[in-house]
Amino acid sequence: MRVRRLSLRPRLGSALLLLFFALLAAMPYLLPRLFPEMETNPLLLRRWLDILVMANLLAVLAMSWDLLGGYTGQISFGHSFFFGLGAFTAAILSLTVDWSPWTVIGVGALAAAVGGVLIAAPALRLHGPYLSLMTLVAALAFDRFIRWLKPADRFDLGIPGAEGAILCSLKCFLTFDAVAKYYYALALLVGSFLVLWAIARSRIGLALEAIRDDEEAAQAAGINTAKFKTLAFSVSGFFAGLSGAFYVYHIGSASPSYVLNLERSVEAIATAVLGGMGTIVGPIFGAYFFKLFEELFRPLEALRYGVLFALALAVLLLVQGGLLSRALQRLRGRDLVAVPPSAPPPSPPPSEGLPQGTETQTGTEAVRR
Amino acid sequence: MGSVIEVLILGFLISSLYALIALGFTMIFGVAGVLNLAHGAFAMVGAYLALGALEWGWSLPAAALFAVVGMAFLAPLVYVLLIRPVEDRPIIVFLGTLLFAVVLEQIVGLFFGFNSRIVPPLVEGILTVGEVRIPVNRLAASAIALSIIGGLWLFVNRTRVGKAILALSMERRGAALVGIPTQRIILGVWAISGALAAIAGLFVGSFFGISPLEERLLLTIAFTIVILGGLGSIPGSLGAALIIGFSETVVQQFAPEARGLASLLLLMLVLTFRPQGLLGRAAA
Repeated sequence: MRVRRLSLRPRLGSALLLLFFALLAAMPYLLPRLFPEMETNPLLLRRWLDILVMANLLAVLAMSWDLLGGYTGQISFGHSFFFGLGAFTAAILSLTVDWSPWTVIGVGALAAAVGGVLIAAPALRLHGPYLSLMTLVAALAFDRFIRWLKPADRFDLGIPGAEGAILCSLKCFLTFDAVAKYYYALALLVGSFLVLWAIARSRIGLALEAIRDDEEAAQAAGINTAKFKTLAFSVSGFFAGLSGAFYVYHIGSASPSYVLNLERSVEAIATAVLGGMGTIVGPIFGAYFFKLFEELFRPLEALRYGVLFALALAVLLLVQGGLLSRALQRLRGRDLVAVPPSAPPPSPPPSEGLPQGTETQTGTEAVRR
Repeated sequence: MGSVIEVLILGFLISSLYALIALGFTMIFGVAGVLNLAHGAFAMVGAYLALGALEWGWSLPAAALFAVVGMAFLAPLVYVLLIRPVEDRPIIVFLGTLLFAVVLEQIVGLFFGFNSRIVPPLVEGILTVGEVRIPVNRLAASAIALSIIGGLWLFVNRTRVGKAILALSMERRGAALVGIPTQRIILGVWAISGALAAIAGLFVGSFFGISPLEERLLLTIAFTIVILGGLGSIPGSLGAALIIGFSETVVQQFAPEARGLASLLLLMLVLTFRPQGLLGRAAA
């Protein structure tokens, strides 16, 4: 059980986060001031805003993974399934019905939430690796299914050479105004964050953490684990689908080789791990780090992914795996077993000073020892 | 009639290869309790070790041996450096081996590029049975795979070390109590698993070609077979390899557009209705 302590740190963390969001909100005005080339070359500004839009979409995807993986301990290898379900639902709807973009994106997210419930049904009986394989198989099967179905043939809007892809750029766009689109994506990020954060901070979040730490104990304590796991799957699916549906309205097409690529799942996991698993807020910083690294080290080509994944691996082992704190304790010559719960737990650098993650970690560590 | 015989032969040949891929994966889980998601990457790295040795001008048998011995060294090393420190945290091991696998993809891609490469066949020639033409290389691969599986079965069931491995897979603490050097045995099992992965990687590389990202397919095959057969059950894995191998061959022959979908749907059904796999322990 998490004990809420009276301290200044939670307020400091929220203040830092608010500052970060404010900074993002000022970006369209800040960027041309900071980089004078962007003022003369609006295409360059547009390109960078698009990169930040992609960072927001990755952040929403990674946060949705984090609610399921980091908070509930249900490791999904198939978040591309939810992302792709949202994306293809949005792409097909945009071509077939005359709804507003927001309705279509919302329905896409709902479809992914339903997908989450469908996966949760068998997943309730599955644990650990079986569950992860189920999510992976769902993603692979959906990919094959779309390639076999070739939905684009029905609309005559396929992309030559891209199996199963739908080109809907005439119907699925939000606005031509890059700045407006940037603000839509930012609103998506902040809104998704607030909802996921509220869920994680509520009694629901406590139940999810209890399931992660010891499912049988949670059940014995009277938590309806089936209900909460299904809820976690559907909420996670909803936000992953939201990210996917918005992606279609950002790019103008849905192609299995992007939206259903396992790379999306791996990226979501690496992003959540980089920012700090089980914190919800961490993945936001993880996503910005990931996308900016990807962009700034473009000359490194494929190597930058190697570096990013290696960094994620190092964070996973050193911080989440506790190797760093163990090594520090050994250096200080402290007892390895009796860690006072008030000891400052390790927290990944980007989310430092944010109380939610640190308190959670302390609680988990205390339970484990 | 010809196509039925072809399905039977090709299905059997591919099944024996799948069994080899899955065997090392399931052994590590059964004995060391680690689900090694880098297993597919081990197979891929094995194939590339051989390709690298060939580029230095080694002969094919020497290169193949280098790959197998190299992976037999690297796999225990990965265990000691990466997995053992966090062994008691399954989620960390799970995500760690997955991330390590994608890092390996990138490292290999850095040196060799991401395009598919073909390992030269170990044996040249084509055998004709009735109307069916079978590359001798595939027959040889199947024979080698089956003899390795048979040899491993004899090793585990008939030798003292093998019995120690079995004891360890049943109860690690109990095995340690009766004086079995558990750490040494676990390192040995990692070495065997690495060597098996390298052999499988070599064959896959010579049949279909191999690229760094291909390891995900190998991992998916191993994962599917092992879950279908029941985690840690070697007979279950062999049976599941036959099921997957034959169902894929049949689909490939008669409904090629649904290739890859059939075995995935089969797996989803099994997971839904028999979560412990066909021959798995009920308490999974």
